[in-house]
Amino acid sequence: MGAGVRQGVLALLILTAGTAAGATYEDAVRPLLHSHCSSCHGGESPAGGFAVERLVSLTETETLQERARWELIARRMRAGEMPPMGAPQPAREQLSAVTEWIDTSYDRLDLTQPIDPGRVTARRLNRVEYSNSVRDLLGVDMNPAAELPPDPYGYGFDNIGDVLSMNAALTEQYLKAAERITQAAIPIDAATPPATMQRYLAERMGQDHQLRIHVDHAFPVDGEYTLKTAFYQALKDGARVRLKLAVDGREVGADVLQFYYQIDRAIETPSVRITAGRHRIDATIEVLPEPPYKGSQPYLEYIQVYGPVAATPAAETAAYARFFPCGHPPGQHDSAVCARQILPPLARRAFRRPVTADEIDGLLTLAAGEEARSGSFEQSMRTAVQALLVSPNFLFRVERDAPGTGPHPLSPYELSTRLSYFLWSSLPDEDLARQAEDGRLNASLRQQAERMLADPKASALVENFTGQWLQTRNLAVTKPDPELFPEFDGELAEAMRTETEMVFAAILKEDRSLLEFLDGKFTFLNERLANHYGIPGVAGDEFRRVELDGAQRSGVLTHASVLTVSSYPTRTSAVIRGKWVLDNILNEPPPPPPPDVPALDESAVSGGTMRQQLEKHRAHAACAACHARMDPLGFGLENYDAIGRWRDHEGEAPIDASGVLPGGQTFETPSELKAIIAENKDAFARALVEKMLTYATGRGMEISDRPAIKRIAARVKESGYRFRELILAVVESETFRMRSAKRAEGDS
Amino acid sequence: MKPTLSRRHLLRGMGTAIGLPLLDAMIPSFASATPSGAPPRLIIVYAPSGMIMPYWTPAETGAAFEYPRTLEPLARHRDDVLVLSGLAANNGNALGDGAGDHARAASSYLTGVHPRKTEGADIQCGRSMDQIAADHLASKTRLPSLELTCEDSRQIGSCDSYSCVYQSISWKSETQPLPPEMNPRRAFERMFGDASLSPAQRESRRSVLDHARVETGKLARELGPADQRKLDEYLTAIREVETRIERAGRSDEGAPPAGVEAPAGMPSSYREHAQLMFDLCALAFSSDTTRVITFMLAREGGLQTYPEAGVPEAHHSCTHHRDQPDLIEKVAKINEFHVQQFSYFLDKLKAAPDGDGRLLDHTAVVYGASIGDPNVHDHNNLPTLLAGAKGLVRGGRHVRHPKDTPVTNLHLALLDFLGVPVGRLGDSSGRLDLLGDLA
Repeated sequence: MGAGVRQGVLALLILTAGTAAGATYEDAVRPLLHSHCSSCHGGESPAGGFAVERLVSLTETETLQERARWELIARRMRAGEMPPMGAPQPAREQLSAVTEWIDTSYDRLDLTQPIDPGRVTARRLNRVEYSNSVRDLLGVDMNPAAELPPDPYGYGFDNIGDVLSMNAALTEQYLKAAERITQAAIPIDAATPPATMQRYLAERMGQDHQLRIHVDHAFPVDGEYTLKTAFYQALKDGARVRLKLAVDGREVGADVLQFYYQIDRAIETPSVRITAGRHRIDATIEVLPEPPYKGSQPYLEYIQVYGPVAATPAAETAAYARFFPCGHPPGQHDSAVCARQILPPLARRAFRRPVTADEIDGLLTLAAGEEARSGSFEQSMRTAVQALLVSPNFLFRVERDAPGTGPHPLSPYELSTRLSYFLWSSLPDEDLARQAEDGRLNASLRQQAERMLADPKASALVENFTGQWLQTRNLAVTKPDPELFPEFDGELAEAMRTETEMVFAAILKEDRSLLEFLDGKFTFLNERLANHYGIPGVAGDEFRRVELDGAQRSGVLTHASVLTVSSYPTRTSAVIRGKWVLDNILNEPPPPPPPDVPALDESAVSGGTMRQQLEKHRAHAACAACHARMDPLGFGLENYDAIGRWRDHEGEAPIDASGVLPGGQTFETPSELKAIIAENKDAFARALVEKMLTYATGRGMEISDRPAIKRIAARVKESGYRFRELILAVVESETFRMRSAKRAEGDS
Repeated sequence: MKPTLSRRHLLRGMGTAIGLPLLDAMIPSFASATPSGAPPRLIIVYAPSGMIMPYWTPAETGAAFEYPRTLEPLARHRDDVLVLSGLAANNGNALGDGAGDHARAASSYLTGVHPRKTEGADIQCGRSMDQIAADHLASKTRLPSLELTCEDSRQIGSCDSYSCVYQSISWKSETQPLPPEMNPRRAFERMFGDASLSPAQRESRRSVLDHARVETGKLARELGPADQRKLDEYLTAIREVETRIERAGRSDEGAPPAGVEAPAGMPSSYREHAQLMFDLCALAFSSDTTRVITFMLAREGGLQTYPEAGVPEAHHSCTHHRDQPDLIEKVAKINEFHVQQFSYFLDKLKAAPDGDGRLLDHTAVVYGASIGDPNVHDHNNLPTLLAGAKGLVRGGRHVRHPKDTPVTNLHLALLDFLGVPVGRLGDSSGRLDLLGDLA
């Protein structure tokens, strides 16, 4: 057990000292459960299948073995869900005596128990990790993620080893991706792909009816391409428009077209030399002031890419120089020497560990075979790199058992791999790899993590964690009813997503308190989103920091991104939003509806106001307990419509955003609700720790992870809830740095 | 391949329609189990989130019954369609597991097994009947099976209190659900991707895969059981792809019929998307690319919207209708819209010559759901249609089976049709007789 554990133990001692309540099992807990619970939760068929009577018939030590049950009791009592409305209510102090007994008992238990770091199942790289890893390995960004199918989610994240699987269809996709990537990374004059045409319709990119459209295109090889764009709309005769095309911000074509009866509505660039990989193409159209024009606006229809019409000679490309360090011109390599120079370092980085002589020999043999068949050394390198990219040592992140029993630290290579995929969704860079190799990583772990968080590659953490924790990735599949919400389009969705990511990035970068996720009085807006919010004074496409007064906006709960993904296509849902808050902010996911009750019907509400309907719903005792907790949280956000706009009325009816929480707290407005939510600092911190640890390790959190989560949360609290500290504490935790020993045979 | 193209078909890609000589481009030339000389095929078309049953179930049984509203789009196929009532997927029920009827509906439908409730660790259900068939028939075609969908199930958040992978109806093993493909272009590439490879490219691929297989085997041996299972999945996958490449090297099969081009991407409307997927299904059968397909019209309990059918709301939201007429109407519209697309598919299968008959004659086509009334998540009276499969099915009838007859009994009859001998499947209790009259 390392210093970290002792530190955690100390922190917990401090934490629990203040909460040690006088409540004891015999005096307070047992009697209350007998008097208030066992009439329903007893006998032959206890309510909800939950037998309290049996629990309290045990001794204190015995009953504490039933952790999941006791924690559920604490949760339901704290939430005011039990005893249910209508049943005799004990005094508040009596209830809190029970919940405190539960909390302190398990805190004490967690304190004396060693941390179980758990075991993470071998993880296939998901498509984002694959994309980033290949980019960092070969220096060419072909964005293969765009071609690969989406990965499955478990525990809310798409990097969970148990859930990520492999099948033939996916294997073929990875194989094809490897072929495209090596074609771009290893130029061969004799193997230029044939020219192809790809047309991106604005309509299909969510950029319909726009004066500017853009697309990310992965160019297959270094070479020359022609680009084309065209507009729609019969302009009045004589009107003049200027069309422009730019690649990565560099103008590559522009022309002024004057509209007469029939004109070509497109411009095409001459051949433009573009390097292999992903580049952003922008097309714009503007109507010129002369002659004056008052007709309807034109809009862009598509961006088209054609090529390569000519490939750049391999010897002239940067890719060639990067890949072939031996300095020979194409076709004149000393194969045996060059292969040994090229492949071992690549394999080492790809496998994220030292490679064995056997592994190198395997690759060299493979390459030699290809060279014998094709007569091309360059081709043999393409084949060898393809083999690297579909190697299980690259595609899967595996961790090995150390000899002996008990939890053991990960090997330095495994630790560096966990770290880089956590913070960068990619493989370790040279610096990190060297720390691992020199055996210094344990000492420099925190320092490395800080360095990596400051690196632009940490944007992967921002995008992937934010998008999944707050579910804003779902903006890509959310389809607000176009009749009701014609304003919603791809550009607005993109702006929504950007706002949330930028706020997350700022809290991380500026080392702010994680509580600012709940009510930080600043955000980032561009003109489009500012108009959506009704905030004046923001012009242009660029996002900029905007200070907020907090009346209508502040914190992620008021972000249009969050409000949209927690709505139905045609309207808001108090239940979805309430559940969203419980799941993602308060870490108190409501239990699913009991088996004997029809599933939630709120979704079907159409007659009467939603509030009335829900109140009816809550009259059903079996539903009441949870809905009394979910619904008010959603009511408090009713001032935001299904795409996150502020509203004071819905139709004729004024919005009623008031509510009563099960604990008796009342609120009238969204900001009052937010203030109540923000009081739950520790619950929120714990929620965020649990999500972060899930994402960082790639496995679901179990009861056995409770001690680790508590200790990390305590550290975060001590730091004044610094968000960066949360990430660093996760990195330094046993759960992240260690691995449980092998369990009994057959037990996985 | 016989150049007997007589009809043309449109594959709808990115806005542009591409001329496609489709189904009749190839008349399969192989031994088979059907009397006519063509091989038997199976497709399960899965309709998500239940049905408004009064609009679905005919009032009468036997041959003289009136088509209710939702079946109306199938009127022109009446003689080919057998309507089945009374089938059940009992393992879709909670059986003590609480919420999650949609996840269980999907994963129990073709397995007959009650899925283990988990968000990720220890995923477990059963082998699905389509995959049992796919394994058995693997050597006959280039692809053992195809799994398709029109709505991706891989959304963030939990999927009905289960891991989202339980949204799959196809299970390769009891621990490995197969995610369906939603993108028509990727599906097409899967079907015909290796045809464009030169012998040299095939040889390179083969050597790359060979290398990966050896490394995977080595690595798997060094790891614990859970890790090994993941590596074994990869090993199996590599072998499958290798087999395919070898086949492609042995013969000239595997090219798409002349003039057929890959769809360019995702269609923008649901109708186009569904019809394009159905086109691909028909193409997969007519070109004998595979003999087993599962196609989910959308995901179970999903959020697909159908503005084209007058329902801009998310499907699942409407299905808990609580007997409100406006919501019932919306669900009915979606049900009807789905059946319309299915009817389009039957048109295709009828129009495609196959052996000495039509493709439909040699294809067992199931249109089924694993939930009846969605308002209460009924798993015990499932909407089921069966079409095609001459010799197995006598169409033009409505047959009501005794209450709670396992739908797996139907699956066993379908496996018999494919010539795949299976004694039991999940909760099966026998085999359905699809020729006889019960009532």
